[in-house]
Amino acid sequence: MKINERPPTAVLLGAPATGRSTLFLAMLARCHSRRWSGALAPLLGPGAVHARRLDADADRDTTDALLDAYLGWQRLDPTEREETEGYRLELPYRAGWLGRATGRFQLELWSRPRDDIERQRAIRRAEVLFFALPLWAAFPSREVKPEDRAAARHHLDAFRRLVTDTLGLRETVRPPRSILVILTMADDARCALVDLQDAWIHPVLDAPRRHLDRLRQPRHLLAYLHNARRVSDYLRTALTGHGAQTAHCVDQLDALGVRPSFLPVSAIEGRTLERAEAGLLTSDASPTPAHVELPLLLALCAHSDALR
Amino acid sequence: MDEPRPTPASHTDWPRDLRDPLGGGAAWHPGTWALPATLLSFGSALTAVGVLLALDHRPAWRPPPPLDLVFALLAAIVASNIARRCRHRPGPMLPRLWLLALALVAGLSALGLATLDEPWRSLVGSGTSAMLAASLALLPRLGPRRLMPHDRRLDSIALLGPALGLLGVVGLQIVGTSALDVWQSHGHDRHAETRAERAHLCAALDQSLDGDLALVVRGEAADRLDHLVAGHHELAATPATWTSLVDAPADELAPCAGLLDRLDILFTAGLPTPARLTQPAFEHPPRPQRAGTPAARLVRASAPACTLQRVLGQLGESLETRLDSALPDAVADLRSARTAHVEALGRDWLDGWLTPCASDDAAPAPDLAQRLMTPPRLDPGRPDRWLDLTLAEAEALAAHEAACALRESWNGRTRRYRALDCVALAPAEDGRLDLVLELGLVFASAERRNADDPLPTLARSSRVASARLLVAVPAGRDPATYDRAVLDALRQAVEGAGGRLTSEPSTPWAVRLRFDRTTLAGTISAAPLPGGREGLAITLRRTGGDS
Repeated sequence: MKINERPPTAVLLGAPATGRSTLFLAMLARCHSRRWSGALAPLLGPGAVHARRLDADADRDTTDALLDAYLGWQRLDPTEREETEGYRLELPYRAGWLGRATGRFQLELWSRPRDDIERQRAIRRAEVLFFALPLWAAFPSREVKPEDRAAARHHLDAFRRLVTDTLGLRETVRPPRSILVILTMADDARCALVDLQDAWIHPVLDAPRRHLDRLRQPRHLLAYLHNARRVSDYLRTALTGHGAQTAHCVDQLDALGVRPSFLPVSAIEGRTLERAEAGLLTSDASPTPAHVELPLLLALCAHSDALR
Repeated sequence: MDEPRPTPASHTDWPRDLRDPLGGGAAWHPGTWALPATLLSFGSALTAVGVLLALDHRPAWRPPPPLDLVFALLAAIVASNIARRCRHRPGPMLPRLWLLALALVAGLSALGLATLDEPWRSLVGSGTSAMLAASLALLPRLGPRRLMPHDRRLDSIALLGPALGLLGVVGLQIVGTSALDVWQSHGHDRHAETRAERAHLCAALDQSLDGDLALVVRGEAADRLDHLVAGHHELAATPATWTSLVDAPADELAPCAGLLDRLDILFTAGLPTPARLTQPAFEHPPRPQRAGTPAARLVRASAPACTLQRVLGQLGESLETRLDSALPDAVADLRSARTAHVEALGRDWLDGWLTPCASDDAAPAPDLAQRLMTPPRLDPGRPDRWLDLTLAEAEALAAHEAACALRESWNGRTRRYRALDCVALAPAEDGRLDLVLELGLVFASAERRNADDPLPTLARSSRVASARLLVAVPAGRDPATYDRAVLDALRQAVEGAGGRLTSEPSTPWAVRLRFDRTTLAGTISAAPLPGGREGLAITLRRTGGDS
């Protein structure tokens, strides 16, 4: 079976400039080392994580190239390069009667136009749907510049269209097992949810090694999952509050029969990325993602009842 | 287009206690000690251990056959089904290995229960409840799919696993036992008529036998038995009822328990039967307590079966001799039926039906017909022959009589003794088996312990040095007067066998038994029994001339 013929476990959907491709790179970087894969560590198998291109040259392993791009503070924005169709991330996990077999979890990132048949086919067959939306666009602070406010409005419109299109594609197939709305760029200073950033994002960005060490203990992992549920409930309340423009989208997702989860993540530190792109980065520091493995863990659980 | 609102969530909406992504995990909560699948596996193992300990403490809770087989099959099916459905899940090895081990052991247990014999079957059967509880405790792994891993209910479900296992196995045990009872009662109804006849017969016989422990002497017992049989012609008129006693399982003999108890008293006097000596009052070193040993429990368990066996033999003889002329047809029927049942009993013996009566499974099975018809080797009227018993004969008795046991002891570090102990037991009011009569024959050897050969072979021609007859004083009887009754009974038995028992008025505690070529000297003394009971001990030795 060719790689394109295998149904994906999950698809990562998002409008341009929502940080979805950087999120994809961050997920690959986080899972590449099992030791530092955070909440996913207990579930990953002994095999290697792979990333492949979803084009004619589908069997080519692009893992190293993508990792280099992420570690070099480079964006991977397939929407600006029409020849690129997308990528597939393959996570191996232990399976079988004696745990000697290897299961594979596949996450696909599509960059083709909305009316592309292959893309639509992947969305129809996916068990888990990831929607990317910048957190700051949903909750901009009062101090944002007018151009940022316009960009936020653009993001919300695009998100609304994406949800509508996706639900239209899933109308005739069975509902997905899980829907995750990933609120990207959660470390962005333009976001109004300062409390969330202080409690959920900055502790990880400030001490990523300690965070990953503690996650190896079951008690902390379970507390992490529980706190993620509380954050999701908080964001759901915020996104569906009176007058919120995203309320209709959440209602649409609810109509699929699956209660979506809302996960704020930071794939890369935005300010450092800007400095790196401006050639002002002087240190060799690597990017630090926050919570990017959590959507994968929840999707893996929805896919194969992990942990139970 | 509307402007995006800054945030509809105010600062007060943020959960203030959430200050750290990993904070808030309660270390004391067992649900946080491991991931749910691992925690459920630990809970399942703990459930199995708990059930095993409970069953060890309360053996009555063990599932009766064939419920144990059903439990083993259920455990194997549940465990293998969970393992099959969870095999594709990511996660550590422990839950997989535990499920596979559980399914494998449960499957092998089911196979063993279908093929093994006792005592292995009981051993395996005890574990089936534990395996079923462990399997049921893992059922939460098949819980609702929409239960996400970050759902707090998972912690509780992991804890509820053991509770689910325990409740499940208790419920299944209750339901299974009830179903078993219904099924068995249905089968029992087919024999209701036979049981009613048997109960009627036993009640009539029981009423006629107003037990008196003076009947422990063989002569009186025989007379009483003859009188009893002569007064109950219905014994011969209903041979089917009588012979049904042979086939009845032990629990169906309950209506006849009183009768069997009284007959046990009657016949254990004439036939020194399995004994469980607990009183260390001999002149040789004290023997260890045996009441709690497996051998003693075996004797207790086999007592009813052995009693029935003896009763059948002796009653059968009396029936044949007494009623032969009076009721020829009925006796002919009874005789043919009895012969068939004696043969059946012989086969059952070989098949293990009366295995508890044999103390050594490896010993050759005795001819049951001969065993029933031949007078006992230890005739109570001829104590002189007790002292002629050879060690080889004593070993044979110990091998074939569950009531007899041969033990070994040393006097100090040099002189070696062996003793044959035969006891008769009778049920007490509280249901226990109390000692009624005990006969101890002591074989002495001049053999000395050798440092190179610590257990030398005793010469098989060793003779009995002394005999001791221990009689329990019945409740309510005065020991001071009961010794006279015992001596009178012994005198009657000895004189009936051609001997003579004399005692001097000045020394009533000393007796002399004279036979053709042998004279025995005996003493009678009080001997306290365990449990505060009174007993009388008659110690007999050869006099100096012929010892």
